[in-house]
Amino acid sequence: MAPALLQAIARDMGCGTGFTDINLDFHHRFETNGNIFRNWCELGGELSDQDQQDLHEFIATLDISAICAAEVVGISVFSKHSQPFTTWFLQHYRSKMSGVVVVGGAGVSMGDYGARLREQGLVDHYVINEGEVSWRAILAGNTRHPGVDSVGPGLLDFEDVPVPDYSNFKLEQYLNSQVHGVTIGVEGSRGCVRNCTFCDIRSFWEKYKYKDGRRLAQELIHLREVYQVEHFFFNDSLVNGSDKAFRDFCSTLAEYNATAEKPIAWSGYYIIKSAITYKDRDWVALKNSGVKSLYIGIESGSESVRNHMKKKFSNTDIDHAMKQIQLHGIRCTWLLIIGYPTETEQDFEQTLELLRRYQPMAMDRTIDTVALGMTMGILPGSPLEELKQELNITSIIPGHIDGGVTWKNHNSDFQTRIIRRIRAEEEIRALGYNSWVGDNDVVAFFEKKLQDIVENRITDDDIAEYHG
Amino acid sequence: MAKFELFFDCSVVGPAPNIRIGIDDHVITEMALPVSHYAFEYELPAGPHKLCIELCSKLPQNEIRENGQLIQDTWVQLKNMSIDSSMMNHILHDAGHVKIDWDYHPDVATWFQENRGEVPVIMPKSKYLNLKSQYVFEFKLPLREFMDQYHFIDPSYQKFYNVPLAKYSALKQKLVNGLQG
Repeated sequence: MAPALLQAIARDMGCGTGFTDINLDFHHRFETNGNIFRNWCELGGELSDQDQQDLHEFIATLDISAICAAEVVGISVFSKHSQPFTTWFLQHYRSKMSGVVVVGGAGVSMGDYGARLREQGLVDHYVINEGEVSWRAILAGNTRHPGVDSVGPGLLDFEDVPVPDYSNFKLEQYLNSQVHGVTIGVEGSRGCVRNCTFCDIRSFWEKYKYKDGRRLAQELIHLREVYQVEHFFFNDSLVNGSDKAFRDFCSTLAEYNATAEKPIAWSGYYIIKSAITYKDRDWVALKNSGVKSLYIGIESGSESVRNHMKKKFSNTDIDHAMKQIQLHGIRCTWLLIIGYPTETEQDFEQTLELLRRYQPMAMDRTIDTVALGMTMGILPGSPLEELKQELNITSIIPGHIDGGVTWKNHNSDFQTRIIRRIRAEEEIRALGYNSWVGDNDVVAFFEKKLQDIVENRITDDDIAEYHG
Repeated sequence: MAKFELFFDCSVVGPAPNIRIGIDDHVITEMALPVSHYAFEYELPAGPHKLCIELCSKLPQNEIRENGQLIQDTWVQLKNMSIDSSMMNHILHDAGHVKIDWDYHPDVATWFQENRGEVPVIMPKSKYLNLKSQYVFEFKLPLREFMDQYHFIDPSYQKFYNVPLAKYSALKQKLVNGLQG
């Protein structure tokens, strides 16, 4: 989605733009190449001579003439997994680019990646955190603006975020589009109303900011009509941070859908709120707004664990929300975290018990899927990092300060958490839930980390970037 | 005993017509609209069954017309149904259809004949009853097997789901042995 915002800003400033998604082409070309796709990109392994040759042949199939000739090239680095290819591409093709090269995106903040690229002379500038203002400054030639090559002040007014411009995107080629019909990413908010201990969102956005619900709904209607979008996926941490904005959003879309020839459908992350928050009419509006699937961070069946996480909802709240979700025929995916630092064996059993209790909703596909993730990872920038001492968290590799996924304390170590993770997998499959692993090879990841422990080795991938 | 819960939306104009709820050939209840919720238990053997909801006594007085134009109507729609706590929401359309009493509604049959070229035997993918008609939901027990027919993951997404458990088993055994050792 970030390139669509950058494109919208550039056009707003009168610039001609072009967009190419090399990541999409890369995915299509190397998806089945284990060494490049898995070992190099995800696990930080080395490229063979044959891999190098394959990558150059891949680039030769692309038309990068516009990239080479552009006055400004903006490269969006989505995550840590995008870093190896970005570095490789710049090392081999930066010299062919005549313009200013800028990198931004979440992957640029990780491990000072942007600063390192600049030191190596591979990019002219980097942008970390929110890039809207910095990108405008760079296009205007003001590269001394706060936020360019430094931590910026962030976006003060979220209403300044433009409507994304998806011109030149091959929307139908994305996997989500193949499953849900033409799908694009949208955002109605940044940050979160919670400060869950396991989450690093506050290190990116200190305050929660959101768009007016009616304006957001109108934005979707506009995008639906311009790009024939059939399904929207919200990139937000949660779609219902502001109850008022969420109600306005749902009721506006419900009104549109009531008479639309092709109603809007959408999916996104949702947080359980207190049972008294939403009335019957809110659930009806949610259903009629075209919601297709909600991704809900249940995290644990233990209230004690969830309380420590500061999730701020009870099992009663879950029961109330799920009953409404089921009654209105909305599908959802449950996101669970296995091995939170306070999770005891009894707490873990409560998670299994919750899954058993909800089996009827697995059968009717109200809970379409459960995502168990890669076991608890302690993210840099998350509140848990500050609680390490209090929770007796130490690295399983002596002397190493970074806990990652291999940490241990009195409640569990990495091996225990893997066993719990596999037990949970066996349980959900027996109960009839679908289990989502995404494109992660969970078992290979676990085996590699166990080997790292044997060899007293910490690697870059010792951080579970996400669960689910 | 299988537990059934039915959830309805409805609108009534004029004298309340009845709906009749039945399983296979057995009438469970007949009651006047409006109704929003009805629960019952019924002993069912394994195998195929039909749940039937019939708008059985709709009258001309249940419609308000001005100059022949329908202004307000009486209707009932099955909004959701649960069998043994499992909601059928996602398959009510796919496993259900509506049969209309064409003898009672010859004018509608004529409209279909003239505009569609034929009078449909059933109205597939509908739960909406505003004519003298019957909604039929065909299911079978055990419920799990029946619902599995309607649960699928899009083929493009298959690779992201349900890794074979055997892949996990060896690792688990190794770890359990290691902990015991």
